[in-house]
Amino acid sequence: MLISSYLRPELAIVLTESIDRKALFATLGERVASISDVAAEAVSEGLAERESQCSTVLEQIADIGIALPHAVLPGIPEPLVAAVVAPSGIAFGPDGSAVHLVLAIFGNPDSPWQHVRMLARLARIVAGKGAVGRLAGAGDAAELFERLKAEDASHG
Amino acid sequence: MAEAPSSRCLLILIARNEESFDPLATGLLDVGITGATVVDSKGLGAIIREEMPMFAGLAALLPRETGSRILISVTTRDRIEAVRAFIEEMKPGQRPIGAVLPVESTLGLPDES
Repeated sequence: MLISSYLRPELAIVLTESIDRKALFATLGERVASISDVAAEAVSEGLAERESQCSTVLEQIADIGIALPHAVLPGIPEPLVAAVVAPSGIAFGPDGSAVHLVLAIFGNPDSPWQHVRMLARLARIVAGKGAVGRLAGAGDAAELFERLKAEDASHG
Repeated sequence: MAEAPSSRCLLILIARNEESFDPLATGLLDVGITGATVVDSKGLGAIIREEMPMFAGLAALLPRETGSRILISVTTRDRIEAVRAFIEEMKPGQRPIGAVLPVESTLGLPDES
């Protein structure tokens, strides 16, 4: 499934400094709250709760740490996808290990299979040859947004 | 009067090994195949290698990747094409083997659209 229609420019972020997972989730919460009726705290808490069940960090690709955090948010009118690039790293893993690319999903509890399919799509995108390098190499938010749309489109 | 043929297909995919099942299942979910039956299996090569002493001396000659799980799903022709495209993206060593069969009619599934 194509995820491009769930991407929003406001949810493409290139960080200039190193932060930790909690700060990342707070940032994502603020961004999602700015374009929906969902409270920022609900977003960050939803992400943290899911992360506490099992880490969403994937195996590194080309020395780039990747995480696919996600949360189901009652009241979210439509799913959203966020992309974050952090050249300096985000202390994200349970052991504090760094990730440099985060692709997050915010879904609706009424559409669980849609959430599963979106997660599968992101996993497929990052598995694409050279995709992680291209995404992590985005210089600014606009470039990251366009690159993720291009990676999505490349899988048909 | 004969029933109109179904536009659906039976998809059968055999993962080569345990490691190749995860990316395969991920791809199927992405293209919209969210309903399937997965059967743990053993390929004939594994049976010969592990359970038939008569062939024990030949074990080293037999391929080790002889099928670990079989995935079966009734799906649409559109999705079959999407599956083909996805399998082309997989690393050659991870690609499943499989078959697509026409389905005459279905039982217990939602109406075709």
